[in-house]
Amino acid sequence: MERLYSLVENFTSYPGVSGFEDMAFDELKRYVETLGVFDEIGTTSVGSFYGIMRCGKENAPLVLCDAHLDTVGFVVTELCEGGFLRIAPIGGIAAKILPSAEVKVYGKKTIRGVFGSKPPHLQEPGESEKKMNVTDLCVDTGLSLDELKKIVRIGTPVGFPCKLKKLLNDNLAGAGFDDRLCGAAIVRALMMLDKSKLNVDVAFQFSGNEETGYKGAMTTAYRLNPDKAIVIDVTHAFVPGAPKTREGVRAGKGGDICFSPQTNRAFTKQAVAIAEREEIPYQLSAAPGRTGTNSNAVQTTRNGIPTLLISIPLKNMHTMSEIVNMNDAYNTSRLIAAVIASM
Amino acid sequence: MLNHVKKYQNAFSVSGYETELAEIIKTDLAGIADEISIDAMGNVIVLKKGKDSSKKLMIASHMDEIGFMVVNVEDNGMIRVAPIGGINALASCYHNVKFQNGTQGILVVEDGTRASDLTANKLFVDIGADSGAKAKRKVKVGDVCALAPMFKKLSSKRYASKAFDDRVCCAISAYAALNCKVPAYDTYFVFTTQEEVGCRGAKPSSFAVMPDYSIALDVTPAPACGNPNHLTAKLGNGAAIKIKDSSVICSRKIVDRLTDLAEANNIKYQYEVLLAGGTDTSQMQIAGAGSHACCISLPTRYVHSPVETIDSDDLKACGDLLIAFIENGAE
Repeated sequence: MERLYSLVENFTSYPGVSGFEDMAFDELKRYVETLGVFDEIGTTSVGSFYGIMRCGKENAPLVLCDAHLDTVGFVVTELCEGGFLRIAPIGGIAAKILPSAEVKVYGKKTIRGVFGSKPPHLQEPGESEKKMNVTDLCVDTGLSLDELKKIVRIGTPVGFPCKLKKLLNDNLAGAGFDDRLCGAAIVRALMMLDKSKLNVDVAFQFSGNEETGYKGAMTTAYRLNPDKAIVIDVTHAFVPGAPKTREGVRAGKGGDICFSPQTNRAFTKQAVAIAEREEIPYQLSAAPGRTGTNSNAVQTTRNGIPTLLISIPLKNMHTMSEIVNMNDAYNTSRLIAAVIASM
Repeated sequence: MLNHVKKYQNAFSVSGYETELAEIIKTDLAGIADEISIDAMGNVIVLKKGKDSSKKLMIASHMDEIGFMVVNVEDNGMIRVAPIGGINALASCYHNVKFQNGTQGILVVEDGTRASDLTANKLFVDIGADSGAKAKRKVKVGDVCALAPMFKKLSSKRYASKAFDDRVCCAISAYAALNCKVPAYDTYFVFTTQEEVGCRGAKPSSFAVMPDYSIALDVTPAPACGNPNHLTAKLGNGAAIKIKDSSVICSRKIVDRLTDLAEANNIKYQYEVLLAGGTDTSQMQIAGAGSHACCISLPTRYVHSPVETIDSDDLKACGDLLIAFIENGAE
């Protein structure tokens, strides 16, 4: 668990707003190299990082583990008097969570900013009830417009900083768990495996551009050309007030194995059987339509790839305080490792 | 370049029916092409070999424009049409339309429609026929029409026309193909089909080319009166280097490279962040194992109206920037 925590700590510390994942590449490469898990690592033009672990057997099939590297964020659309920035969202972000939130502005140098918030004293009656758009908000940098122009331009990415906060009962709060947490869970799984006993090569793709259309997953899967794939993403853990249909997935009950037209049924059933046999906690969910993850992009690559989807329950998704129960992440690592070891 | 724009403007080229323009472009570029072909989707693919043939650059501009398809000829001779692509009903009604066979008509609105209820499915074409039978001699179900060609010089350096989206960019691409020195990489000038209905031509042509680098050329909406949609690219402020639209986030590598080339060559440029609307850029980015993709956008007012308006200085800046990239490459 400690090793998983340190992976999460590292992975969540890099910038990587969707479309700007290359900002994370150098540090990510350096860190992953120190782990000694992969025989080969690389990056792609569509923002993906990948590593391949070879079992040493000739013509071994390749199993691909996917998590996405990018996070939701913003991009600057206007530099305003007084050091304010207007921004547009990248990926799905609710405007109402933003006032007074801290952000990092990744310009020529990285500077801090805070979303402006109109104090209640100054609001018109009923104003707080009105719908808010991200494009109505401003980021306050504290700089003059002239200073700001030297650092920031239209198109500069803006993201949430991640400060991990350990809560009770192995709960952890932070930003960017969607989906850096899952990258950490995959790498932790690969660290559990004994290469010499494997019958498959394993590729890990930390794919870019997921939040904006699954582009890193489809192109990197095309490049790696795997025989099977396991997609790991986060899912919504049930909280009071969430729709009744989501009651089945709870924090602390293990990774969520997903049945869906966008996953492979036989591979999914096999994963369930392995979890039962190895007594690894898991839960089940069904996505009769879209999974909202990379599973479909990977599944439909080239001639089609049998794809399994396991999701880690998360609260407060796409906010600066996402909460995960680390036991779920750890048990997901165990399940991934068990599935790969059984091949 | 303006002569090319005018010529391309007159061709009939609604999404799915781009053959006429494809042949014109093919003829224009036959002289400079190392290879030239038209694929099953109707995309024109022109290869100009470069210094380094280990890398491929794809340039896409789309030949098609939005239009209408006949869905029913009514007994009284009125022709009910359905939109092809994102029609702006308000901007289109009561304008001349022209069918592929040359038949002219007026786009009119169903009687009793209030302005607030005006949508593309309330539109009819009146070709002057006084009965269904007479109308059917000219037009049948499945025929397509588009706004009739119009090209006006406004004062200063500005021009208004229908379908600058994206003929003007086809003209920029053709201009670059004709005027660039030896390209850095093998360069594929692709004139795509069916962009307005979902980038359907760019998808297979990108897979056929499998580029390492790609540049789309398209128009981007520029504000005129007020700017409620937070548009960043302004008319007259130069070539717009795309940061993102709703279909793509452009490669930082290419954004930075285009910026450097514009600075080095004194080409006026600006950045574009577009919140709604997609381009062929996305399809080139995801072809095969992916490419470094970006888009040079021409700021255009009143996009998808009969009076799309551009500035000829921006046009030139886009052409110069494209040529600079073709000749100097991404590194």
